[in-house]
Amino acid sequence: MRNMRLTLRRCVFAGEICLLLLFISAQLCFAQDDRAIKATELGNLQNYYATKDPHYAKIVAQLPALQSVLNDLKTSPAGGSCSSAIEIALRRTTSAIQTSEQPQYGLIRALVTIPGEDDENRLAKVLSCVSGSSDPAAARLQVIAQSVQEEFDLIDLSAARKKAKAALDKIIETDQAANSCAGIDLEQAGFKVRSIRINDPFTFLPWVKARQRRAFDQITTLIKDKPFTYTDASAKALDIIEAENFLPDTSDARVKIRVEIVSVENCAGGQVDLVYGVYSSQIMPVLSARPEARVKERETPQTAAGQTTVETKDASPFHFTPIGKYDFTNLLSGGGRFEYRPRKFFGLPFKSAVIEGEASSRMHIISAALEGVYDSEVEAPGWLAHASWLIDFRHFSLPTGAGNIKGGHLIAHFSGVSKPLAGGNLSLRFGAALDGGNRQTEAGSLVLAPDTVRNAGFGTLKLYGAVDSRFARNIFSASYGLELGPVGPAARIDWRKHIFDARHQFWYSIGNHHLLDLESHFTAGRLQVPGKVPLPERFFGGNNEEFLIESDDWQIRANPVIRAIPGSKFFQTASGAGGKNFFSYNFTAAYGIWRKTLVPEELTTDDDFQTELQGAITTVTSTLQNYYSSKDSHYQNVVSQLPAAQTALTDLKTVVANAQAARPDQFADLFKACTRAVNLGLRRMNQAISPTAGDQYSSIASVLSDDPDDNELLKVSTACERDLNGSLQDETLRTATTRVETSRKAMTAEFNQIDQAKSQKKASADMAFTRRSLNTLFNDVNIYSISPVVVFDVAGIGPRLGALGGTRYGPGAGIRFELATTAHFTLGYAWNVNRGPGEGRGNLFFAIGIRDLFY
Amino acid sequence: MATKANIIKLKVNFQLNTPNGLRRVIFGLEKDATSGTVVVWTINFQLFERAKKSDPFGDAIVTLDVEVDKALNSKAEKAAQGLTAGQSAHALGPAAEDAKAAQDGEIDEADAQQTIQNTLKKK
Repeated sequence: MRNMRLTLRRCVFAGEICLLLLFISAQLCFAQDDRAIKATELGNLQNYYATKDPHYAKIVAQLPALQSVLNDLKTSPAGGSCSSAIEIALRRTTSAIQTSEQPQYGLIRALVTIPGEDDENRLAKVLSCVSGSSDPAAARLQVIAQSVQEEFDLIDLSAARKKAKAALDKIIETDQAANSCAGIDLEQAGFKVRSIRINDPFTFLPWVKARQRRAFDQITTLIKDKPFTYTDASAKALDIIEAENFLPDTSDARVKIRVEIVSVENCAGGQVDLVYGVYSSQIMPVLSARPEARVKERETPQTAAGQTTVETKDASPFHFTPIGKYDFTNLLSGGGRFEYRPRKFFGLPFKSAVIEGEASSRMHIISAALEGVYDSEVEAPGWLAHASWLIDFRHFSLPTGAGNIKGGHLIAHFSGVSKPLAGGNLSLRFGAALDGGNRQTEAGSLVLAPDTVRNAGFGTLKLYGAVDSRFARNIFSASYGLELGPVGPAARIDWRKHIFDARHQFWYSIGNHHLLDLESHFTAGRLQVPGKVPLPERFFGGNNEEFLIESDDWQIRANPVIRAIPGSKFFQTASGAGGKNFFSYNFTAAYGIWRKTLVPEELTTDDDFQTELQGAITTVTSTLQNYYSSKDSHYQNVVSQLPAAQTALTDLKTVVANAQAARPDQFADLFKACTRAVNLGLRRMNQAISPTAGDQYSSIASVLSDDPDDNELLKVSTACERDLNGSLQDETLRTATTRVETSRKAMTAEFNQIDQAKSQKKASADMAFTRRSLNTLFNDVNIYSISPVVVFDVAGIGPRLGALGGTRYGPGAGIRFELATTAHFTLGYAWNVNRGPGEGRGNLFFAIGIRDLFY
Repeated sequence: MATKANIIKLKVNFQLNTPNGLRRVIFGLEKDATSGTVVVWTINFQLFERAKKSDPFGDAIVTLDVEVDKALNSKAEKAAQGLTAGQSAHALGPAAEDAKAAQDGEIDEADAQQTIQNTLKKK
């Protein structure tokens, strides 16, 4: 009977275990994710390591005594009314004796008291039931239970957890290694291709998507479900990808880089998954130094990587980017930028037509422009790297809270950018614009200064310049602009406006691609009015940005910006509405807490990739160095001497042929070596004069190489004079060889005078911005990121008297989303700490830019 | 559970155009882990020409694949760090010329390969 009960108990216990397993399995199958599975495994392992604690062993040692006392109690009179509690405790104890490790641990845990858990506590429940009994068994149970409880409480669970975590990490590692492809010759091991995938971070662009799909179909046909071969999986598949050309020409000049990567994963069951990565980028060598370019790198990396200006049939000439904004004065505004960028602009010197607008119930800004650009090739001579021109009609109406300021004008603008200067550390920008139109002020409570008119026609001349610099993690830019304007159609200066606008951007990856972005923007302006000035030409500040010039390439801000004051409400000064001088400083700090890298981490963390990337740039720089060397006057002198050297070689060939004819049976090997050297030298010389495949500088450098193993002219002298003529002692041959050698020495001397250091410096300068931009694109840029933002603005306007004019402070915070595939937006609130009359406590600012809908 | 991907081929290509816009050079560097552990480095050069800037570049007139000699491991590592001015000159000069000459049957393929291999020996 006892045996039957024991068997029954075992069956019940086994059933409990099965149920538990079923429960766990069900969780595994239906509910648990990887994290839950890991947590379960961690708990299980922790229990296992707890059983290895010495205090646990002491508990186990007491189990027989516990079983005995429970049995005694069960048969004693005191146990009669507690039989149920005693029976369960006895069952747990007996099972604990019969099991080990985690099941045993679970049963012992059910006997003791665990704070916050009262469903088991089996010994405490028995003791509670028999309390007050004078039965010696009850007293014995009290002693044993206390000892078991004390030992259980002394088990070092934190050490057990640590050991469990370390063991689990090892298990995960082993599991991963189980499917790893590391070190396997997949071809020899007979693997088959299970699946293929092509990754390109820009697949959200339709023309990239179309190429990706075509390449995928072809590669699938080539290798899927077929035995893996390195030739098919690597070379042939990459040929397909390259034939699809994921890097078409752009409408602007860029240095191009294409990175392709083939990787294998999930080597299991004799099958392998193949992953192809294509990462293409086209850098505008000089323009990447501008702060405007850095903003694009962050918000739309596809633009910075030159993926949006490709000249391909799949790419649309139409571009439309919707925008939306909100602040307390402007209210909710919407609009967009529509651009038409055909391959050829009807034979006109423009690249695109742009219509841009933004409007709310209180404000509007609209413009229609024709834009043209010129880019010099990266290696082209001259100092101008980029030029742009613009004809733009613009109309605006901006709320001040006391009546709107309005204006409409037509502007013709030209600007240029120099090639990198100062060792590639800075570039210069310059420009001019002619502007004519009108400025109006809406009737309201705006108080006019004496030298100010409410409405007027005007014309202005604007001149501006800037210096930009881009380092590894910084961009500096400083612009100065001068505006000279008369009221009405007159050739006089009624006002002069001076604007200084400086920006600094710093970015640094804390951890892998978690970017800390710090942006500072300082602007200052002064208005001198020898005559009259239209009111809207004075300085109106707030969350609205106004620009002295505004184009894709260059923006010079011309008003005090403070995000804590909505619209253009920061304008009241001692002399009336609109400032005559101002400054503003805007600081924005953002830290990317969540991101997806543009280039996969397995690539950016691959040492070979980093080496190759830098190496490729070095190779291009070396080629540029040779180009600049070919512009040296000494190089030109060498070129002019080539025909004479060619003639000397031809003559030598004739002399050698004659000498051999005169000695038909002598020195055959020496004649052969000399003739071969002359022929080779002549071939190199002909190539240097008229290259058929290679580059002339390269061919000349080879002819005059200081490497005796490679210098074919030197070999002529050795083979013909030293070796052959050493035996022949033929004066005619000596003269002919000497002519060749004299010519070689003269050309070598001239070639060695080429200033290679200068060429190297120029080449490095040309590639400096490109190198830094590429490093940013490959190592810092994310395709998605979400960043908390902290802002701090200071703005001042004058003249000041009491609360009119003066300085305002605007601390604030917000969040920034940058999703290259969809949109980028910033939402925040800034407080107006030191507010003046008519100004609010703060401002909610929000701006959204949607990605081009026609990509 | 997803396993870590193993790179079996890495290819970096740079493209630049000559000042007159008539010639395009593409430099490439490839690393192949062909049998899991054996690594092979190859340098690629492609040269394109066109008569007018308005014409498209057709097929490459010269294509060079310089497989780095396995005995020259240190040279291979150097190649990954980029070509020097001398190496670049050799590649675009004698190496390109000899490759074309071999294509045209003017010299032996072996001689052309030797010239190409010499690229990495240049300073």
